[in-house]
Amino acid sequence: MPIIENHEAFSQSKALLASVLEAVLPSDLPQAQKIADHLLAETGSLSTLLTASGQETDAVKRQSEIVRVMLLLVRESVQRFHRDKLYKQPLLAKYEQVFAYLQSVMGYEKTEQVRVLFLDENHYLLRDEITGQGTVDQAPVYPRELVYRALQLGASGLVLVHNHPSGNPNPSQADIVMTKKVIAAARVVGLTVWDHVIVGTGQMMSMKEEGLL
Amino acid sequence: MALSSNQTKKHAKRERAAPIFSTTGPSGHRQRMRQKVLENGPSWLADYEILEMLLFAGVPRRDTKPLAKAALTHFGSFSNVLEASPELLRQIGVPEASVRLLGTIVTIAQSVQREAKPQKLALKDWDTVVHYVSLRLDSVEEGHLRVLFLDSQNCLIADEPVNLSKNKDSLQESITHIMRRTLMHQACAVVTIRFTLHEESKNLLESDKVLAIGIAEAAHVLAIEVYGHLVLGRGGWCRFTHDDKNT
Repeated sequence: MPIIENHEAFSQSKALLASVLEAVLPSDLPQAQKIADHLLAETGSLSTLLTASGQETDAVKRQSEIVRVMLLLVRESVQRFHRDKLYKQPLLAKYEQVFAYLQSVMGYEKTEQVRVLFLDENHYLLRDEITGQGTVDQAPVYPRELVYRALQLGASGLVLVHNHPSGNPNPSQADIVMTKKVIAAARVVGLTVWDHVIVGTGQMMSMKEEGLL
Repeated sequence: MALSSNQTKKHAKRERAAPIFSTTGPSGHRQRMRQKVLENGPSWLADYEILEMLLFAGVPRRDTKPLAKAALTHFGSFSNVLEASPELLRQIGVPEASVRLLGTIVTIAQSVQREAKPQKLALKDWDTVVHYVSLRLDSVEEGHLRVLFLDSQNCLIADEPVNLSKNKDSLQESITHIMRRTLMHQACAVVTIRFTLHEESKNLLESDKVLAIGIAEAAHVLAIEVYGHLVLGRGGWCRFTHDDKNT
């Protein structure tokens, strides 16, 4: 059972979830409320629940098809909403949007993922791709393949991203070493690595801002 | 491009003429779309299909695809539709329940970072572990076995009993069970705990050494860390690791 500290935010999440479930259970509002209470008590937060909706976790498996589909649609909509906004402006100009998007796609994942945001010469997002699926405490990065993909897409730079399932976004020694290798590989073909962002739960770390690039 | 009143009327007419069979017509279509989402996830859907499905809520029977497409054309992008004011959404014919749902989704999207983070219990050293598990000492039976599942920062993911019948195969069964649960929890490390109510039970200690070695061997294959096996009684506690060292 998760420990809940911020009760105000927790009850706001409950109200939001109940409102979503009312849309699929319009004739039984008390039931929608009950399911919302139950699901949040079990998962601890709305973001955890939405991430769990894509996996076959016990809490989600017990729900009816219509509820499961709605949770999947909400998760997908939230991600598309943020991704959509990401494409509309130079990526490096508005980092809050980058953080909001990354948080929605990988802030609550249970395994590590490597994601690359490929940018054009004006710093607009060209493509957002998962380049590596890892395990609970590591994920594969092949500098040569990242750089190759950037050339293929006609990108001029990239932002490297990966998540820490523990929730703590501080870089490990291995993260720092890996970043140096990617930067070196990019440099020899004339590409720029703008940042390496580590996504934790509800928090993120930019290695550029921390002076670690 | 707003829907003209003519088009709205056409929709109203179609709604009354909707077929009543569940396997054909709009409700069969909705069921098929939901099934596809359950099987393949929602990422393959086009933006208008996501909207189409979100509109199911406010539009009981009629085909929602035309309205979804009209909304995307009118507002220009998926995020623009979601962020459009309720007034503008109503103007193109989005029903009240759907207006509410779209608004809720935007609020959820914006609250991602503000949301309460479930706090994790950090089991940073053996004292913390012993303190945590001692809380159970009064409520468990003699010989009770538990497993703590930890993440890469040694925070507690789950704490579960191992309830298996006592027969000659139970040792291997316990190991298999613990390994399965570790994978299901996507944990990085485990600690096993035996509760013993008597001062010191020599037999238990001997058989638990075999268990601890078995767990360590199995975990090694899966690259799972084993911090050790703890035997906890009223008189105190002792811990040993797979290499049979008492600490």
